[in-house]
Amino acid sequence: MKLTAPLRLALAAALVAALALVPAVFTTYFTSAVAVRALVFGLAAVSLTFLAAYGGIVSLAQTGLYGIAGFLMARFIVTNGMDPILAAVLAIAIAVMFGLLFGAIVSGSEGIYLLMITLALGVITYYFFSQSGSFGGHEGINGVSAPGFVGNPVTHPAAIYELLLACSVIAYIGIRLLARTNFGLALQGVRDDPVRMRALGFNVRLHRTLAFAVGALIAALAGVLGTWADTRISPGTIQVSQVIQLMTIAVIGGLYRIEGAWVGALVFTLLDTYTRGITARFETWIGIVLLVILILSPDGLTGLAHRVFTMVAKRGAAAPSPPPCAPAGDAAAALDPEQLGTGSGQRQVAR
Amino acid sequence: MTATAAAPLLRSRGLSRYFGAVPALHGVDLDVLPGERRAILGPNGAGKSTLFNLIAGDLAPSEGTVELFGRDVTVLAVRKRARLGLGRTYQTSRVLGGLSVEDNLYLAVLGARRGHLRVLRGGSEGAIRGRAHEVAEQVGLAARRHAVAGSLSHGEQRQLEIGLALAPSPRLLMLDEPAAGLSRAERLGLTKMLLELDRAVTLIIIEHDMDVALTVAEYVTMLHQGEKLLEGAPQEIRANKMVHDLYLGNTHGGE
Amino acid sequence: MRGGASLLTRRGPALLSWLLLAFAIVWVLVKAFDQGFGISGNGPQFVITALNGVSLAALYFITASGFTLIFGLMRVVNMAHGALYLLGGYVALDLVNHGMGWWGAMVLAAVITGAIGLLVHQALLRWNQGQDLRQALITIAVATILADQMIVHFGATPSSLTPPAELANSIGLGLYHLEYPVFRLFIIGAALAVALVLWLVIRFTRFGMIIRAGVDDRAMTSALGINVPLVFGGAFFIGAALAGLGGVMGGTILSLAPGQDDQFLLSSLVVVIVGGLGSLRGAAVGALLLGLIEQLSAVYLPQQFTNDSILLTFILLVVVLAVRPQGLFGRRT
Repeated sequence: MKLTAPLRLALAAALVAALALVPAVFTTYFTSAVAVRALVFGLAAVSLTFLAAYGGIVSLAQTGLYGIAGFLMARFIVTNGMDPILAAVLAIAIAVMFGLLFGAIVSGSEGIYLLMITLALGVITYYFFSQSGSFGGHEGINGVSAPGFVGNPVTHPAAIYELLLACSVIAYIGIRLLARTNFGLALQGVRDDPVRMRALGFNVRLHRTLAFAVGALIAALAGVLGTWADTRISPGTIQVSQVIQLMTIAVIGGLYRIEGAWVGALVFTLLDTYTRGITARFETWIGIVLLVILILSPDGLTGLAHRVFTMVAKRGAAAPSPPPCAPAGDAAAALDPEQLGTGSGQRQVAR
Repeated sequence: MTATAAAPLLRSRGLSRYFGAVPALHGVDLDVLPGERRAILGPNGAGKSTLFNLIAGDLAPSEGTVELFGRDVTVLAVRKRARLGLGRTYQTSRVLGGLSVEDNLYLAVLGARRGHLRVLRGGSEGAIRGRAHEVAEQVGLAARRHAVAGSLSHGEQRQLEIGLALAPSPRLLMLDEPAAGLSRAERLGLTKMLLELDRAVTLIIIEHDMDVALTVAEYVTMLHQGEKLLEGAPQEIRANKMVHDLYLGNTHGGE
Repeated sequence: MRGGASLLTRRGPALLSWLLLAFAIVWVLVKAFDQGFGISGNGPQFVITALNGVSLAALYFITASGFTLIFGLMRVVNMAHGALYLLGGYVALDLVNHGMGWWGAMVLAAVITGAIGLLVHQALLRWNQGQDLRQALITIAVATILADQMIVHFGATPSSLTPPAELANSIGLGLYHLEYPVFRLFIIGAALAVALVLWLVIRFTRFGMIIRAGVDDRAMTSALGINVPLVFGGAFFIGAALAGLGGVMGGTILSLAPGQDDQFLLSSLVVVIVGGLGSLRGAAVGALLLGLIEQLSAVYLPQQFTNDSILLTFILLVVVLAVRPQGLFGRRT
């Protein structure tokens, strides 16, 4: 069966429609404990995956940006009595500013070095919020009210769920559209070979900085929605274990495919919710799952799925063209975990 | 020379570059006139790539100056030199592996223009794509336009590499060993393409392959151990004894 | 990146950061001695705080030297480094609780931590050498597992090690009638010893030569037929052992609790980013900067900013990255 564009679109629409029905089909517990959380994690993770897949930047600072937006909005609402939507918009705007700042700081670095620096930034942001008096210190900020139409997210999670779903769909479409613009194409070029891009006249640092700002926008959106969903935010939300958790989600789903963020988030949230009863050592188990994925299929579940799909399709008609954000086009290259391993932003072009 | 008698397009004076105590390049003066076809030859280690990188801006000189299109570009950033009209290829192909051939060429054209950061579609996009198609034809990749660059063969990648340099219609085109690793047929195709190149584009090529270089070039600069050894028309170079010794007889040059 | 516009853009950031440093030094000195140099002024507090900063720096150096060794040689960002630090401390505590003396526990804990590090390297990192990102993520997984298992085996309540009797007291400094804990001075001495030994090994042994070559060019080193995996394993052992050693020291002057692993991972990161990858000198300078900034800012920042002292660490990072992205003593890759 050939997956033509209209067919793919129809399938996607059907998927979204099915997802929209979740609150009606599942229990309130499932909706709030699994569905809402998965969407929040997914949105936060896609800010990471976007940078990795399209920018060749693996950043551990995304939780920090989530926190900046969440904490600022919470403070605006609780301490300053601001309207939730206004507070959210303002908080996102400020977080994007920080995204630009962080981006400018890291834009001259690549690969592993950049990973280190972004980790430092993410952890510093955590320490800041946990030590600062203006943001509730260790306790964080409670009683954050969502906008009127959301109601009480704990007892009636359907509204926040649909809001999250809508925002997720918008984020996904937005990223796909952005990828085909001049900016998006140039960013992918920077991902593939920054030296070549410089020789063509592009400002590599500027592109990376702006990409970081886009990532910050997505992370901030997740932060705002997540804080509404939880009605609170605390430093614990963005501490080091959460930084790692977000990375874990992205890796499980697949760092180089946008869809991976949501796949990873769903898998993680299901594991988290339903294994807590079986073991108190969830952290150990999730570490093991991450290890297994890194050893067996470093491009995550979506990478695995793509490889399986291409192998199956090869038996039939011609292999479908890979998603635009796959690092090196064909399946053979996707099988090579090298793609995950190149320290620099360069892809291993056949040398 | 068939080049017009005008001010030099590229001029270097006393250009030197040391790596620690090692003089990779020393005191090189170069004048390339508009429309010229210049070859830079020399054994391995003679300093050819260093010279290229100094002109392109990937390296900063330890001493000396570089002037491009009449401007002092000695400390100018790589991307700014590119936007002035400098196009170059690399010894090992640097193509954008995750994008299609067409997208590669699109970016190459876009690089010299404005609108790098545009997030709205439309505008000059059509014109840029048109130019990208043109260049794909010119380098023989029209059939592979939608192929992902990373999946191209070595020879195809070399073609794309040249396409990337040509796409923005540069005033100065610098090719770094364009014939390396090409089959005989591919080399012939390359030579033909270079001979047919518009005179509006000045060409400098580094080559090891004497045949390609001396067929295409009208003037040759010979480097040896980081210094300029001699300059002259291809026939003079072919006939020169020193050159023979270096390349054929006692080839201890450089390594 | 080569080529900049004017003198201002090229020299500007460096100039600005020297100015910033000078301003900070002057600020601290003014606050320290504005009441005069006598004993009734703020001089004594300054001396104690400065010594706290240096001893903390010593602890940071001991830990970070292992991190930079591993990072510099193998390009492995060992995210489990903080966990190894904490593990070293806990193992020493366990040994002491079973009757071993502090000194013996220190040595054995370092060796055990080194062995665990070596095990991790051999099992999980040896076969994917060169895949930097994958390795970093693997060490993240290891860190997660280690941290959780430590809670299982050692509990979540903070504990600490008691220093050995010889080092447990305070000693007169001969200045301002001040007394200072001997153990903290011992840590400074230990850091110097570690620095000396590492320097000697790297400069004068074959092993050290290979490490230096490896920092410069991994591919070439391995192409020369040197048993790179063996050298790497050895270096990883040493790096992990240093983390464990740091944990024993830190467990004695600070505490052992979940969260300490994160703190020392961050400090190692900052020290190495500031100092430069693979550079011991850089680790020393970076550790000094970080330790002094942390201690001095707690005392000398204006009241309303005391809780925001982490921002100074941030500023340190930003300034260094703006001026020398490869770190103060790092080499451009």
